[in-house]
Amino acid sequence: MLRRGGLLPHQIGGGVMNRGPVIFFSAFLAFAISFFAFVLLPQTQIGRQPLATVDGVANAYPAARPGEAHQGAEIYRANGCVTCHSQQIRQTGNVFDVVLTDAGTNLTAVLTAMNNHLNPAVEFALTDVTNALPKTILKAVPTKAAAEALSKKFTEAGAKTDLRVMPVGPDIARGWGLRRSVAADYLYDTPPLLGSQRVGPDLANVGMRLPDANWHLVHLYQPRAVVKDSAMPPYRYLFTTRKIGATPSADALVFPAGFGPEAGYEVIPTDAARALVAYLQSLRVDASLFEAPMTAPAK
Amino acid sequence: MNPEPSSPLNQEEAPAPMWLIVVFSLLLYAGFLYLDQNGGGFSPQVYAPYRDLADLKTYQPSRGGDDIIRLGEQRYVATCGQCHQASGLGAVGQFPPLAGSEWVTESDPARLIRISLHGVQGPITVKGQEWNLVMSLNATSLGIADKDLAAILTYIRQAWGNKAPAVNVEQVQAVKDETKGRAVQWTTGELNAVPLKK
Repeated sequence: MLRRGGLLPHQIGGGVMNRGPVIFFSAFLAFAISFFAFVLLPQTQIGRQPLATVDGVANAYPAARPGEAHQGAEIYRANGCVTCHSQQIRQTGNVFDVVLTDAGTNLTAVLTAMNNHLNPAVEFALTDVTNALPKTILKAVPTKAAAEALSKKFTEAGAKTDLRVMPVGPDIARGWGLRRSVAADYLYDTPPLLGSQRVGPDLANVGMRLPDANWHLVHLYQPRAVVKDSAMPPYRYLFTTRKIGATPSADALVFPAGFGPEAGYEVIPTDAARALVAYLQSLRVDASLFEAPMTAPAK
Repeated sequence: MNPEPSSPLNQEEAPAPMWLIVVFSLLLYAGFLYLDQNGGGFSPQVYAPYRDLADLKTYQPSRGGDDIIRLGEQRYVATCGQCHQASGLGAVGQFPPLAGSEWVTESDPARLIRISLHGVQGPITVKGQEWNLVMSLNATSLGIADKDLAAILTYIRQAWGNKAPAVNVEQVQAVKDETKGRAVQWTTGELNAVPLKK
């Protein structure tokens, strides 16, 4: 309230704020609704994601980041990687692959089934039934019913088949991931570095896609050495270039031919570069979860 | 300065009583809490492109085994696997292996069920190696249900390259009836005396 000459507004004829409670409760209501809808609602709905059991091992996924990778997440944030890289894979559906796992004893019957129900342009030989099992006999069947109907033709012939659930979508076609990202994938991320721009590729599964540490280090030092036409700026301040001493350092970057420092010098990653690469290597979305099912590739 | 027109409420009617506002707030709180928890049938496990839980279930990958094996594996890992390991290889000098063990893969499971029900003690030969231990944890002490025990035994008889027929609940119950009242572990001698069906 304004004071003029030591008098309260109503004493000098000014108005008092006589709708105080109404304004207070309106503001309170606005904040309360925001809190319920944007804080409490997501918290009650997806706030208690458990660690997932993978292959019978409890609490196996996601794996906690080792210390260096944990520091690397801070380097990732500090350098603004999230500005150009997202960490979320999209998926539009699933297809099924039919895999022949065991031909059983009646090989001719299985062979007949292969010739009758698979590619009519190909004449299968008996060696196709016996060699290199398990073998994917039909790829990308759009529905489960169709895949099961086909499997039945083979199980009737005494063979054993397996259905593989293969997620599909634009990101998966680019090789960025195996399945869509779900909330449980980010349990160890504070904050989750989802990103919204894709100037560079998605990094949700980069640890599985590009497991080589030297590749990442060279890429950070000189992106175009390994990715032609890369738009990524070089991060040379994460490295030191020095004269090669008596013996070359084992930590020095191994460049492809035509790149790297001038002769007699070597490039050594700093701790920050190592931590960042450890973080990138720890980014893996490779487990099948109930909410994001897939047949995981054999490890 | 023009005075702010005072509310007609203040002069002619009483303002809304404070208790009504409090009751209204509480109702609002409870209503929102209910909405948050039920959220119009929202399931946190269903993401696009899946439509609902039933749809999601049809896409679960088969793990190359039937339900009983899967149940057995799950129970095994939580109980027996703590010592005999998820690999079934046991631990040197402490827990004998189950993978490839002749005690596990006998075609008649009568001895295996006895071992799992009450444990075993004293010298025993597994895969050509002498062991002399006491298996103090067993299905009775861990309170494993017959159905689960049958699943576990089926799993260990068919995992890790073991190839032996499945164990069903009736077989477990039959052995349980025959050995009613037993509380101590079996010895190799007693087990060898158990008649086996061929």
